[in-house]
Amino acid sequence: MKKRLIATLMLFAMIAALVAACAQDDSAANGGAGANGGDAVPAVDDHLIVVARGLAVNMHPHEALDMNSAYLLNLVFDPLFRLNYATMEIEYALAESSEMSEDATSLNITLRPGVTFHNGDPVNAEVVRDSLYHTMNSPLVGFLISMVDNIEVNDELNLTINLAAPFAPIRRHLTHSGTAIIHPDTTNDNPIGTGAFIQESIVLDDRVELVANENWWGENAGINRITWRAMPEGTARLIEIETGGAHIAWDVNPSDLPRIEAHDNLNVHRSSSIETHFMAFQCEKAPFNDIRVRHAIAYALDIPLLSYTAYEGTGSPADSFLTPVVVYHHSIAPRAQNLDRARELMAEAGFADGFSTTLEFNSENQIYAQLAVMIASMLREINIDAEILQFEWGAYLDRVLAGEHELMLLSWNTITGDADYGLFDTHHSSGFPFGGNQSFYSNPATDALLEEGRSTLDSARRAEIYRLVQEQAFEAANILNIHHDERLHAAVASVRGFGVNPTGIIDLWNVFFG
Amino acid sequence: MGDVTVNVNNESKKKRSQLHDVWRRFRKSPIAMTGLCVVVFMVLVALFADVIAPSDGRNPGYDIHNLGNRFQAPNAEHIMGTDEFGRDIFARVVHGSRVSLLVGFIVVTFSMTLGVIVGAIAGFFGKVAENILMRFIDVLLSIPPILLAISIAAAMRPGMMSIVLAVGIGALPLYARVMRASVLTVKEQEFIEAAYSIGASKFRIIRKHVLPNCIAPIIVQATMGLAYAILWAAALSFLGIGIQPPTPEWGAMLSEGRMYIRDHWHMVMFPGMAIAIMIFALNMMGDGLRDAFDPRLKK
Repeated sequence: MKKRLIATLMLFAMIAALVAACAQDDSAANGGAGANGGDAVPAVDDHLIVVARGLAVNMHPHEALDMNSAYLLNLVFDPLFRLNYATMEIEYALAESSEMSEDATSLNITLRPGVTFHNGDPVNAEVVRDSLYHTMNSPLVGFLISMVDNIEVNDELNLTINLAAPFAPIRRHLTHSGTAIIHPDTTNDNPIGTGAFIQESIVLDDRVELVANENWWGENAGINRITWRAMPEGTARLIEIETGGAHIAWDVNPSDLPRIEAHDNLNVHRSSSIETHFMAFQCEKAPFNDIRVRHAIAYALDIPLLSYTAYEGTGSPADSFLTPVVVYHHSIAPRAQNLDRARELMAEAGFADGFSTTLEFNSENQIYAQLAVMIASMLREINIDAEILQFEWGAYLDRVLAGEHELMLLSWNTITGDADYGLFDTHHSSGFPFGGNQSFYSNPATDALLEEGRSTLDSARRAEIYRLVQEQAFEAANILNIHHDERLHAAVASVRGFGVNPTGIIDLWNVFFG
Repeated sequence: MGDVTVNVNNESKKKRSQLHDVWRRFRKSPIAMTGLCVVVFMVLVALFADVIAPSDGRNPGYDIHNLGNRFQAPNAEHIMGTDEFGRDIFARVVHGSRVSLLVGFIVVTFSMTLGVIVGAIAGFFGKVAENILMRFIDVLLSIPPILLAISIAAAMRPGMMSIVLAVGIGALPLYARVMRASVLTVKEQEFIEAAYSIGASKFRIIRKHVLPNCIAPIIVQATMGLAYAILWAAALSFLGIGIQPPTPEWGAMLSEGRMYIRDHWHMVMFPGMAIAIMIFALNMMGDGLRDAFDPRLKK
């Protein structure tokens, strides 16, 4: 009996050694120069294979508001305008020219002539009007152009969008995939757009096949077919392109950067982003209705350290709710960590012995788990006991909208690239809780400035307004901005023309194999 | 079954000797003894976690950050290395044994108690009671356990309580079925008939005669169930809906480390090994117990 036991244990030891040896071989091969050099997946017939976090939630542009959907919708549908990925300036897509009235209450649009949908039907002013009305009636994306009062069709290619109130950044809102122009017969199963690619087939939660639209109005650099595969794990996505299963890995883990950089056949594509990660207080709840407590917590946190550690040195510590690429971004350095000042403020507020609270985020976000652990550890220094709670995304959103949270982690994408989109919904008192003001921040002065900001066309005045708003928000500390994200993608070396947009959306028709 | 009948006449004395027999048989199996030793060792580690990896005064022993010391491979100072915050993984694995064992014991107590009651009533009374109870158990069995667990964990505040309920309800049918099956065989025995004939009440018969004779398979089931509970708790924590950070649950540690698995293998290796060893030991012990309780192997 004893002999058998020893034999069993030895067998285990041998298996363990074998596994360890194999693992070492693998890593040596990856690091070794040239070992993987020529093993790129060959570009057969300009067929691009992308691995991304997931597929679109819905392929009807007016029924989706998540990034996975936005990536794919951008390929199949065209909005009236697009953002240039390098400059964040507005470019024309389905619109050929446009003119804003001086009081910012109406927008004349001339459509690009001769554009057809994937099924051959022509795009005219009437179709565009109906599509925009369809957006307005959507409970999900209707808010994007809720300021539109009515749309007049002037002739075949001309229409006028009349606004209920002056709204300067309307054209930027019309770059959002939620305002993309749809064929009236579009459904989730049968998306009919005007875009560069046509959806050929879809396998639920697995892959989408797209083929190039030969009648597209724009210029396709040389991709005939895209296979878009879902792969939720960042490490798995990277392994997939390392081993030749795909050409582009969408979103890679910051911690994998050195590995990609050391690899002969892979390139990292990095770009600044419009996404800011932050911690918000529920300012209607005690003790966070006391500004001294919020300031104390601000002084207790080491923002640069949080940003650097959790995001492995990518991106930058946040200096505003808006990232530097957003128009009217105003940089204010975060409060430097000062535990004495923090304890003093806690004592002034009557919490010298601290209190207990909760810090919540959605369980899908691994990096938030790291931020939360570090924040909780920093808060212990001023006697605050923050219990960490993770919720599944839907449950989390419900809690936040109901104001049940105390401290929470979230991010905001200023997807139009304009300060109004970033600040209005999140800092105007009309925005809580459903509009995005999850901190329940309310300041009449800020409200007035934000209202003026969206009705002013003068960009010098707007810069002034949004500078003031960002200063007021910093003083109020209803939100502690932690990190400006950086977009990180990896692609095999033969992929050219891969320009990463700060919004995260990538115009894959610019890509070609070289 | 001879000594079981004797039980009725001379309960206390014979019971001790029966347990003694079980222990004697158990002791003879080296596999079972190895399992037992490992489990006892783990329990000791869990009990003395605060001594092995003490707190620094402000932070619990498992959550002492040292960002200058991140991602250290195992070395003399940190025998299992450090994680992304420079926390000592050995300290976390040690404290993790406390969490896992605690969850396991509470889950087993919860599901065993309920399962035994349901199974005993269903088995002993039969007819309508059996139909209602066992159909209810069938309904529980028909729900995929991971789905049940995720729903419960999502509906409640995440933490120990939701894990206990989720895993406990998932495991309940196992105990109920085992219990019912053994009650069905026991209640046909002659000594039960004898108890009836001397006028014992049904409650007394269940308590004094049925339960003690059905307990062996339940004990075996509970040992295996402990392994099951620890594994499921780890799975739920891996998914982020179980034990919350910074509490070092082994499954949660695996989840934290998976992002770094290719560069810092030690972050997943040690919690993973802890789970594997624990489950393996419990299963070895469970097998040993089953054999030891089996009267057919008496000689």
